[in-house]
Amino acid sequence: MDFKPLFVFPRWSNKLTFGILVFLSVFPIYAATLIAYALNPTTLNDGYQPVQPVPYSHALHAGQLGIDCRYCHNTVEKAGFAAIPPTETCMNCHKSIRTDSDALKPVRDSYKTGLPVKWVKIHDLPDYVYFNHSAHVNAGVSCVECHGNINHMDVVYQAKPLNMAWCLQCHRDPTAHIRPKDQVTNLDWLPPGVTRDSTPAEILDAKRKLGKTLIEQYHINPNVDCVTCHR
Amino acid sequence: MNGEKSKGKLYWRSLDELADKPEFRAFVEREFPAHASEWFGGSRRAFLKVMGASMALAGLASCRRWPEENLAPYAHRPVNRMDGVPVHYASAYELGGMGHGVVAVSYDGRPIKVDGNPSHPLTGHSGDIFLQASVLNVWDPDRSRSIQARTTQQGTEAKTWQDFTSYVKTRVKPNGQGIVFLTEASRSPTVAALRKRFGAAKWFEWEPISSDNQRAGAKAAFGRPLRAVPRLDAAEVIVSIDADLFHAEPLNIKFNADWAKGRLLRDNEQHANAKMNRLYVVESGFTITGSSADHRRAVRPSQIPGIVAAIAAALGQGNANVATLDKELQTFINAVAADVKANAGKAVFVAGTRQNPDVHAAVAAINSAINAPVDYYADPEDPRVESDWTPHAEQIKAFAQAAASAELIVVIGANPVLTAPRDLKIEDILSSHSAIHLGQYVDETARECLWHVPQAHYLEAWGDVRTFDGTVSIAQPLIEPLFGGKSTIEFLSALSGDDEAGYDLVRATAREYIPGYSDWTWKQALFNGVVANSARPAEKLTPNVANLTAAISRVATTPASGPAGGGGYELALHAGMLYDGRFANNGWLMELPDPMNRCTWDNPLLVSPNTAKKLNVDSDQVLKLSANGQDIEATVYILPGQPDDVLGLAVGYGRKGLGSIAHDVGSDGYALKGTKDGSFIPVQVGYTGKVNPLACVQQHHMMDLIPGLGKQRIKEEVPGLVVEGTLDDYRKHASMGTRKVVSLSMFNERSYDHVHKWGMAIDLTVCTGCSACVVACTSENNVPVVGKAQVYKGREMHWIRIDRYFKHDEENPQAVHQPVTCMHCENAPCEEVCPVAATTHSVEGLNMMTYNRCIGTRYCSNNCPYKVRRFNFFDYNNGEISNQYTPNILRPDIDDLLKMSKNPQVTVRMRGVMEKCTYCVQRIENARIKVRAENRDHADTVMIPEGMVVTACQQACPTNAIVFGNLNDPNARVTKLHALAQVYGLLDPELNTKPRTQYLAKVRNPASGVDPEWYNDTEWRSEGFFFEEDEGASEKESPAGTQRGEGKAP
Repeated sequence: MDFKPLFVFPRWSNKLTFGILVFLSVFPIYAATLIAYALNPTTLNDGYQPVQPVPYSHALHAGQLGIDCRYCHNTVEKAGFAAIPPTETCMNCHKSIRTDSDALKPVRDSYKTGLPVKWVKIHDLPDYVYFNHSAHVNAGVSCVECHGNINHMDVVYQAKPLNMAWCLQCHRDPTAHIRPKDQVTNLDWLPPGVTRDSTPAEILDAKRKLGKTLIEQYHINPNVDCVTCHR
Repeated sequence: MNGEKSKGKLYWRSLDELADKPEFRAFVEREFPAHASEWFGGSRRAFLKVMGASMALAGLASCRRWPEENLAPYAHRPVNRMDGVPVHYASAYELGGMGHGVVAVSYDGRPIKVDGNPSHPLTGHSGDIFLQASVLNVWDPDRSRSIQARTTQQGTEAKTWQDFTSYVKTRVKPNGQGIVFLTEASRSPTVAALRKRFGAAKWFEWEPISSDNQRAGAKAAFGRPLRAVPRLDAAEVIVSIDADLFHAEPLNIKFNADWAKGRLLRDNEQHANAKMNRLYVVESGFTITGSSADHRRAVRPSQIPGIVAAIAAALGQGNANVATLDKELQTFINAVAADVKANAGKAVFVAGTRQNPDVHAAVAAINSAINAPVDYYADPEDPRVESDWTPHAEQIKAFAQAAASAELIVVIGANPVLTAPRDLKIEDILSSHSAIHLGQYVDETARECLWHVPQAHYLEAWGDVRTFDGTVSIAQPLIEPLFGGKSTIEFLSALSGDDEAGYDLVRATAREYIPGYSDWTWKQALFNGVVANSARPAEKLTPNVANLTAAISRVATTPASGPAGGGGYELALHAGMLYDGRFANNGWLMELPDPMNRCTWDNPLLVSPNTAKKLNVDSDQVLKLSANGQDIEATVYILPGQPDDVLGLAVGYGRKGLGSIAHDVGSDGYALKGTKDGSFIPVQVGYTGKVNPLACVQQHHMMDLIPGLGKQRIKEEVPGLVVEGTLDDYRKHASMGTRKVVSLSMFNERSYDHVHKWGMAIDLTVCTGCSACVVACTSENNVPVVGKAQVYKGREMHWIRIDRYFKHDEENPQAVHQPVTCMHCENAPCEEVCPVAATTHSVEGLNMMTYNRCIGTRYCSNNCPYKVRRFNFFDYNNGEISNQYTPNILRPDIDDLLKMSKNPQVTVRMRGVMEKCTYCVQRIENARIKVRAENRDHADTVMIPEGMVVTACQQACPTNAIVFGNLNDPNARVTKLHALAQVYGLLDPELNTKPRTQYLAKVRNPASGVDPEWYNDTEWRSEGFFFEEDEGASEKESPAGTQRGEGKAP
């Protein structure tokens, strides 16, 4: 009887087997790495720079004009939140400066109507994290440690990953991140003995050296218990 | 049961356990009673399919940065305003005409928590369950949202405030001519002032639960309707005549606190001369007052007048010709009388609100005769003048008569269609007249009225209240009315045609009650929450001997013994977890287990074991009750200690269409009440053949090591959980037989010698089981409400539970309440089994629970010997509780209002994570940050001062039974308590868990010779347990220290 198979793999397909096996063994690793990178807080959040309703420039106000951080974010030493300033704070100056600027229209509208300017949140921790500004600022941790050099940013972006491993690295060894308490809002501060031209390694060394004495002086002993941040 | 009466201390939780029923065994012998061991009925293949699908979904769901969020700062920020910092405001409210002072917490403009105001004479720092839960009513989405006018027979139409005021202008005549008012009780000075604008109107007051019968009694005895305020803190002997002192009496918070003051043994230096007061209770149910009593008798309500007469006779008052009581009761009364005589001037009788005026008159006469510490206060803000004053029961009848000829009926706050005797047919009166209703809900009364106006919550409006001694508190709003509600004073002002703002009205009357009124004193009064020097002095009484004798002889004519009223059963209505029904739509109270019967989401018909036998019914069966031509159906719960032939039923349940929580839960006890019924309703009982499984939590979360193995086991296990004894025991052995054992440890023991070491002490001697702590914890820690079906499965989420143990036999049991929360064990068994380190130990000894790390294996809960961990089986905070089995994506989200009620300082937990008591760690951390900021230069060595961290349960506890603090602070109260001899840790000798929460053994103060079967279990005293002297010897015998009750003293 003449038996005719329905389908036979051609001979050359044998060579594919090896390729498929290689693909099957490598792809999961590739996929896992891809997903891990895609979901990494660094990928998702670093450099996050949304468009704000008013093109407010920190580089101009805090940098060139030298307005202290606490002029606007005035609750930072007393409260968990560093308050976003009310429209009134803007209008303290802008009642008389650039009163007809188009860019400032939302601010003037808000001042008139009493409705808020809706800024987009950049440094956004998960809801189960309880970060407290006053606890850090009062211990000699500068704004710059978490927010980067805001005073050089025209449009603010997230400069640090703000993930848990990053937080813990400072909570476990804060020596490089503590400065004299009167220098907390001086974002361009440098420890004594180094200049802007020193190498990063030199600056770090100088920070550590000063940090060590400051930690003893201020009795700083950061908690690493879960409940410090998760309640 | 009687035949084999056990000699030792026999504790038991329920009759099922005592009888060791097969159903009970089946429940507890399931591997994880509370947990979903049979969740998946299908095959392994089906399981894998579902798991695969959910993995895929989980992957997709997480593939994004979280949604963009906006920051919306103020345009004009108020002075001193700091975002994210909770602000405390003093405010006040009235419950049944009694002013309560509160401190409300506002978080970014939202009221989220309410506690008592420490400077207020009634509440102190604490509060009862109603005070704690009242804040949830602000956020109740089912509150009335608009003004409604009836346009057709069935239909209503939403109207504006302008529509209403213009309607009022056409209908209200000058001086209120032709208006009949029916209001809830209010002692607000501003309401009293506004009342004068309606001089020609008739004014009636109605409260289903009130102290008016007591005032009527005072009127009979002294000629004036004065409010009696017994000073329990000045009494050595307290006799409660059916008064539930510690729950739902108008003065219950004060009673709790004052009673506890006389029982704080822990403050005595010398245990050998310790003293405490003694509480006798005669009651017609089994209440938490009865369980706190040193001696208790359960009697029928119809017996009470006779008992009062017999007490009077035994004290040599009134004519001795009283009806005879049964011998046992007479012996008890003689013992009470002897004790009262021995403590002349330091003994006080208190009669309950539901007793009729005759009983109150007789009690007032007795108190007067024995020179009892009772103050009497007048009530000038009462709309009724003293000369023709009548109690609420008469007022509602007078209203029904007056309303017939009314031109306009105005109902303010009250809900008479539900709560008034049904034979008055209030609903017909209202629907056949032009009636206006002001209330928070579209309730039974609102549905009969022509107009309904939403009433503002007390946290939404200005007002003022007076408490029992006349102290005024000003109620200030924390938020604008969410639904455009109007307060009583704004409503009255609009009725009078003026439509003034609440603030102006209150300030106008404040001129009169604030001494030296100025802007400054007004602000002071607002800040303090009480107006200084506004209390009135207690009235001086000149008792009229003839009146007093007459009062006593009136109760003597009622037969004391005999068959139950009407030959059937006596139904005694009481205030349960919903007060009079006004809190019916409050999920926290609905899910709060009743401290005695431990049922949630229902008001079971409480019957004694004997009555159940007689009726041939068991728990969960539905009976039909008939009285006064009305029928209701109610579900039986057999409560040991309930008097025979007396049926107990809480009021306020059985509501239709009120809201999503209250709808169709339980049975409406008010329906049976007629105008002629006094303290009880004679009812006929019929059968329905229906079964309604009750969601009772008593057998959930049991701590026994080997549960459910019958009586012998309970006898061995439970005495280790509840250590109890008499004052005599305490004087002899301060250790009270608590077991303190040094154990060999298999843990890596840590030392906690840093600055803080948190710990708690719970004093069982003064815990009354009032449950205020449970509600406070729910409010502070965002504990979700899960619904009846989930509670039935043992999935209630309360972080603190109050275990109730019965003791002795089922005919005459005693009961003990024991609050149990996470013990924060130093050697925590839960931490050892967590595969992902989601529960770990802090350097200060807190057992931490990290929700974002938890993967929901539930190993920790299974390994927790105290069963205090709670698992989120569903997203209780992310969808309505009625449809939990629908996937989140398909079910509607919960109302935004309910989200606003959450405390932002505590994570709202999602499905699949474990949670438990944290010792209110958010309060600890907030205090730490504050203290460190204030002491910037020695941040980590500064100690948080005592009193700066107060847990929510501690703050709410009216008896100060819960004390929390830093064990490394030698001056902290908790450190001193932990050093006492009567302190013990639950299951510590068995498991060496080293719990940070320690209990102080319960001490009762029995009179010698009374209730020997309760107190003469000498076997336990002579040989069963170990006193301090024995300790060394027993350790030698058993170094591991797992001693049990049968051990012999050397």
